[in-house]
Amino acid sequence: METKEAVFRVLRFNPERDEKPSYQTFHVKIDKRMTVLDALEDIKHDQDASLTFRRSCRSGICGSCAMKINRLAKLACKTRATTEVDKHGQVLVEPMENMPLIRDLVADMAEFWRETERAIPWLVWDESLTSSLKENLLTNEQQQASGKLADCIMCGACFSDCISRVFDKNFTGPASLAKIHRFVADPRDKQGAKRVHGLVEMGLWSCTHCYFCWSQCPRDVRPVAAISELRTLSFGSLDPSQGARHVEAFMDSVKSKGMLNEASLYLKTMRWNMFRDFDLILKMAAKGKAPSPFPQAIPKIDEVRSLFRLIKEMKEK
Amino acid sequence: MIKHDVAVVGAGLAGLRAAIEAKEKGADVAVLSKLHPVRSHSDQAQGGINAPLSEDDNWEKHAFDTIKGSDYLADQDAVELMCKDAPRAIIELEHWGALFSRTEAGRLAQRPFGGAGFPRTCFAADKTGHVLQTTIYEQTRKNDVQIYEEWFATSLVVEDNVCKGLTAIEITTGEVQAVQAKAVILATGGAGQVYSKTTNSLTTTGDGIAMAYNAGLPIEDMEFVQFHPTSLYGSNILISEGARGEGGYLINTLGERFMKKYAPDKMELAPRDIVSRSIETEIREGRGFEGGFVHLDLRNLGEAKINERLPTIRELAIYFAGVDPVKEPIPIQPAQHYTMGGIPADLDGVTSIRGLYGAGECACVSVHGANRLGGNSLLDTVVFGKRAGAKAAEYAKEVSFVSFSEVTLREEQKRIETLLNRKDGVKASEIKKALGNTMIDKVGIFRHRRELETAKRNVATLQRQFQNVCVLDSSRKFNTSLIETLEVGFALDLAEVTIAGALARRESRGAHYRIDYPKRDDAKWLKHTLAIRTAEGPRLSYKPVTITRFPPEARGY
Repeated sequence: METKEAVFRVLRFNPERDEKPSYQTFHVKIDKRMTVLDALEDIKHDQDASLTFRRSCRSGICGSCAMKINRLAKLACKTRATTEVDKHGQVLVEPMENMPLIRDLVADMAEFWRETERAIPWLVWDESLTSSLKENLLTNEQQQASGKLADCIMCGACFSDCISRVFDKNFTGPASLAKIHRFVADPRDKQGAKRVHGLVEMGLWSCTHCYFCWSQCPRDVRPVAAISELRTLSFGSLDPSQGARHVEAFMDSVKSKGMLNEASLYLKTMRWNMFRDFDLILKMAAKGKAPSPFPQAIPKIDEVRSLFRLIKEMKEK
Repeated sequence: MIKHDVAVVGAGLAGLRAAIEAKEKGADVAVLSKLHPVRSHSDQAQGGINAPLSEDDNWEKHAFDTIKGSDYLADQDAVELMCKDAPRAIIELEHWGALFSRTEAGRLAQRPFGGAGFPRTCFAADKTGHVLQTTIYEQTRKNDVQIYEEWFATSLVVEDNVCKGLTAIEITTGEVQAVQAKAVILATGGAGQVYSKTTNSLTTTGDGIAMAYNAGLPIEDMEFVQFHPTSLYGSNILISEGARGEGGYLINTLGERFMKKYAPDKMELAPRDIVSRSIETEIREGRGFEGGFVHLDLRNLGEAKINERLPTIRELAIYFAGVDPVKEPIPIQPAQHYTMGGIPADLDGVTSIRGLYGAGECACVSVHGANRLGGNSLLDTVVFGKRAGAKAAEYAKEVSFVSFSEVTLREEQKRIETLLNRKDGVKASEIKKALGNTMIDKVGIFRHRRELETAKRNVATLQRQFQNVCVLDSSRKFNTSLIETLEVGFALDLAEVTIAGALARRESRGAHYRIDYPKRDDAKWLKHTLAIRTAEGPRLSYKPVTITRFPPEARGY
């Protein structure tokens, strides 16, 4: 097979020798079939035995070899080297982020594992459903939502590239919330929607919907979609969080007036907390910059309302 | 020093199932694993797990299929027990949360599998191992099982035929430590990486079997190595038997479904040894494609069924071979897949060393004999993992901790220090490459005395080179080069045992096929091989096969 030489720039860090990480360049012969993992194995065996990374199954299922390849977290065994070279001119390889570095491409995943266990990470079986000698009756359709989320291989790619986690260490991260929704969506789980309680403290509303967890997931688990579902479930609880109130107020405003009214959005979201910002509100009002909390509806408000009716009907179907 | 009633080595299905059981029985239990548990090789199982669930099926039929599949080398008491316990084991997994594929009526769906007279393989699409491994790991969280992840076990501490614990490297720090335990359960999986063409993970290196062998335990039936008929040409990534179970065809260059010549009745769903030999024969006789492969054609299944039942297969074929099975046949060839032999263990995982237990692929109970049926290995792990866990916990309750000499620990520390400090020598990766090629070329699907003897000489040479192996990385922390070197050492020992057993066994049975002795010979060879370590290499002895109600007969499909 035709080969060409490719440049691999690899982050190196040996805690026994180095004060801080640096980059080392390797030249590797690659063919069109080779993965980044194949190339790293070649480097380790032919050029530098001390190059350190995790790997096991080499077929994209065990989740060992997640690392940053040209700035995005990916499984090295599921990333073709030539594709990266064609796109970026070289292959820049670095350890995952949002985790401390152990050595070279090996990140310390302890925090990631801890996060996935902050809520009950197992099925709480409802014994009343069936006898201990029989399986629960369940259709493939009833299992579909959990099944998709159960595809998660805990590689950590979503956690590594999660922007919210960078700023909010209390945010439990995409994989953790996907795991929770995997049980919420499982008809056999006794906890079910009750699992939503306590998620506000785990940062349910910290996600900014950047969609990196969707794009970087090697198993197409789509954690951000699970996060949206969990947020929806958290509406209507007795004490909805600020995040839930924000979404509800947004929708109310559009539904009733056909447009977003910043004043009512703010008041409904913040409630009594608005007194924190009282100074600012007065200053804005003085300069005529605070919108009225009682706006007029837009002229064709009926059209907006019929859209809402349509969505409601579609949902009910 | 770390101290536990029960130490389980390996965190795949067998190890975790054993740990859960031992914990439930009240033992203080810890699991050591060189990987995080969810990375274990059990995760890669695709096709399914067998259990006679349907009203028209029963444990006798399952047992008969298993024993016939094993070419009558399986111990029938063990097979009976496994098949009787299978429905309970499956229901337990379902109650724990496993998401099995379902029938229209919502029951557990079952697909046909090789060598089975009945569709009795439960499955979760083509990711059964992942679903079960995740589920069972979740149960270890529920039961609060302590796990030492990324700890690499290097040797057992055995004195006066009593196992007192083990030594292990904590990979993150590089420290060699002793783990004292009343009972040790080995559940470290198979030895696929002895071969250069294998469906197994890069970490499936037979560590536990080799540690038991080094501790003086005779190792059983290592010459029986399963080759999976359908691995992806090029990477040897597994393409599940489920692909044929759902109706896929095997096709040669002439466009023939060639299995009609070899197994006219069962066709593509003959047992794996027979299908692998058939494919290899087609290739050797010139009816394979250039490079050495045949076609697995799934196009007759249609896109909808492929997406529902075989989504991973489609993804793997597209990604790793550039072929979409909906539109084109998949290029496949046989590759090493499963180690039938291993640590001789009874129905409760008990070995002949007191306090040492074995479960899962590293053990040889023997339920698979000379050839394992697809769907029986996952079953083996949960049935015998549970039993080993219960027995080890019971034993740990009866005995107290005894004096633990640190001789083994100091020896291991010294051995590893020497390895790390050696400045030049042969690279472990080179030895591994040469070993893998020798094994696939000379100890593969078809074997012959001449080739086996060459293999024996090659491995002896590699063993000598290994005396001077060089790690080329003297750091302590997260030294994967050191771990790989120790793994190659284990693999060399197991290769030696495999070759010795294969050379001695002058017959063909199951996966062991001798061109120079093509017939099964029950009069002389209906017996298990045992290989014990001596200074001159493995010394062989034999033990009888347990036969209960299925006398050996001719094996046709």
